[in-house]
Amino acid sequence: MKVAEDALLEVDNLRTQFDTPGGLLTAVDGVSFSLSKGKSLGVVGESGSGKSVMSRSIMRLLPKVNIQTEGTVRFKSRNLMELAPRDLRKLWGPEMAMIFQDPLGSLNPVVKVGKQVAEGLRVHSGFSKKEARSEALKLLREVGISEPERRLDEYPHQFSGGMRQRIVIAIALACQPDLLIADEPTTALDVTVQAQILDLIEEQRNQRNMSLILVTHDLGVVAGRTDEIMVMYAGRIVERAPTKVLFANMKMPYTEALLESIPKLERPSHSHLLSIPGQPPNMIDAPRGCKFAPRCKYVQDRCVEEEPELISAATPGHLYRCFFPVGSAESADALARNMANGKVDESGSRVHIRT
Amino acid sequence: MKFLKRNIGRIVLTGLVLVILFAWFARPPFSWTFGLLILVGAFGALVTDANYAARRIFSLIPVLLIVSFVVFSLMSSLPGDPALTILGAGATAESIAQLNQELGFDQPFFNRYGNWMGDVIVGDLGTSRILREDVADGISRSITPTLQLMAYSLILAVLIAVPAGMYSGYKNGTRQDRIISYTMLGFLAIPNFVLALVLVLFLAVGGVTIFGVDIGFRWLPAARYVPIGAGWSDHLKHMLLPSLSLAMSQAAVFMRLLRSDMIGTLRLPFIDLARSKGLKTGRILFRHALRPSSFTLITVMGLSVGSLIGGALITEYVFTLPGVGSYIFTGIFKRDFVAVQGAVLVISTLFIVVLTFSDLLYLALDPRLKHQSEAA
Repeated sequence: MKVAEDALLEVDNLRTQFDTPGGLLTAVDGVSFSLSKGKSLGVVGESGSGKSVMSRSIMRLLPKVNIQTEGTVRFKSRNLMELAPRDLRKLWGPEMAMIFQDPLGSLNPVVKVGKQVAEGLRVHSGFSKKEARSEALKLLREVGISEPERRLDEYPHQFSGGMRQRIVIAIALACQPDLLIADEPTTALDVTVQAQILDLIEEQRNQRNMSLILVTHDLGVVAGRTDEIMVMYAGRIVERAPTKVLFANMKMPYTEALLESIPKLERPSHSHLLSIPGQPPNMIDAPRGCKFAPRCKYVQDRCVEEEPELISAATPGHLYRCFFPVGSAESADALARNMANGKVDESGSRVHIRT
Repeated sequence: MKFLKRNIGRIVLTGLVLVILFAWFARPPFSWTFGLLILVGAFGALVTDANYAARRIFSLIPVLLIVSFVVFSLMSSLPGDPALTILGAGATAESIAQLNQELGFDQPFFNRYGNWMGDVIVGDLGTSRILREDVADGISRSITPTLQLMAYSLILAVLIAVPAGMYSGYKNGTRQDRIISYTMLGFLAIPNFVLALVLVLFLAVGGVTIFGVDIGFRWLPAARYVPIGAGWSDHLKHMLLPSLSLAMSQAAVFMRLLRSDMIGTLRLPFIDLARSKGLKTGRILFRHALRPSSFTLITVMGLSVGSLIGGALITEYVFTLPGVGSYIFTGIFKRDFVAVQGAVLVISTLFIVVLTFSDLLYLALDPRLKHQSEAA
């Protein structure tokens, strides 16, 4: 992929390591991508795939103690990795903002929501108390809080989960950021509320011409919503493509497995729900070859020996990391071989072997 | 009529309380105690609602009655004969019996309690035969330095503990944290009176001379109580050392509590959100982390203040402050039961008022509790 004409965010070879008692844990390993202004990117992966750590590394929100971050994060052509905390603080809010997973935990329980929404405006935009309050009122109305005049003076515990997440969104939007990172914004919410929150984020993104990174474990969440999708596994990008291309022509067995694990309406009821067998690898002492190999139904000896590079597919903008891409003749052969030698059962799922 | 019947208890109680308030208001130390109680009630009404505050204040009445009974029974069960102490070694059995009758000590327990309570309700704590003065006056006089000592040491302790605890919690695990933590632990380990003596030695009487070098100062007076009336600066100068020697161990406890709660709070997601808003560290610590971290601290502060109302006997002795601790101490030694039970009653009442205040402070600090109390 060519460098986007007006790339807002360029991440190059980002690596985040935690110094744990068990050894150095590599949570994010050599992630590179870029995001243009006004575009949206979905980041998908299981829990533990490094997507949350990655989003915090990009924001530079991780604490410094026992955590090392390498690589470059270029935002509006400034390298965030070289910025002093003081300069970073000026970016947080007016330039880039974040929405977190737990809407109750994200709000301060002892501060009125109006104040929490207005705080960023007071600090960054130099608004007076009164101005900030009326702006907060406007924001609450925009994110769909009814009777915002009254609710401005209420505390977080007086709101439902979905309403709290709307307030968190209002806080994130307050200073008109150019980049919004939403880290599992709907995971803690009821299914019925999830779609509303996602629609709200999408609507606000379009209105404000914001760029969005939507992090989720649910491929279904990003399916129709983001311009591009990036699938992460074991701290690495394993596939990246424009959304339509990905769903039409996915190359990575892990993406396929993720898609199969989503329950579908058109399947007969009581049909077996496919899950991905096994666990993501231990990131302190990761296996040598492809990190997904131990759980992959196409796995061959080569996959265990060497790790595939992130290579381009025929479609522009489509990258994947596999020797036996889904839908190719090689993968069909590989699967047939695995079925013959008993690594994969008739239903096509990997027989889990304890090692 | 129905209203009267249903609320007869409340009406009687309200009437009784009004009478008591009126009588007690007339003279110290009850005037302060009840002034304080009304302030606490008003504070409660402000942070929750008037109904809740009134209920909290009224619920103190049975507590206070029980306290008075316990105080009286304990005093009555103390060994020793007050009449003998008053009359001295030359007393005859006849004169002792006569004095006992005069003082009402010959009557049955409940009669004595009833008589005492009857007087107490109208603000009369009795007269001390030994000190030859009204007990209420004696307590009013001696409780002033005690309350001042308590207030100053609390202020000092908070001024030391809050910044130290916050910084230490924020810098958790670093060298700065360890230095602060161990220093404060040291102050906790030193007994108050030792610290008091050391402070006097180095800050008041000129310290020690080692190899011809004087280490120490003569900045502050070593002892003696100077009332506010004699000038604020002189008063504060005399109170600084006793307050400081009491404050350090309190500060150590407060600091430890705030530190550990702070560490817990700083791990919460809303701190991440506050950071992602681009707020400065100081603002995050003071505006976002301090209040949710202060609940344990408030409880312990209430208890600590409460226990200081009883006087810090040793500190009072070291600095020759005529406080309530010394008043009670002398009373016990001289078998001056009237004085002791009066003082203990006043102290317990103040203690309960302070604890009620710290309970209400919770509601002011944590809106979640406030709405629970409204729902109840």
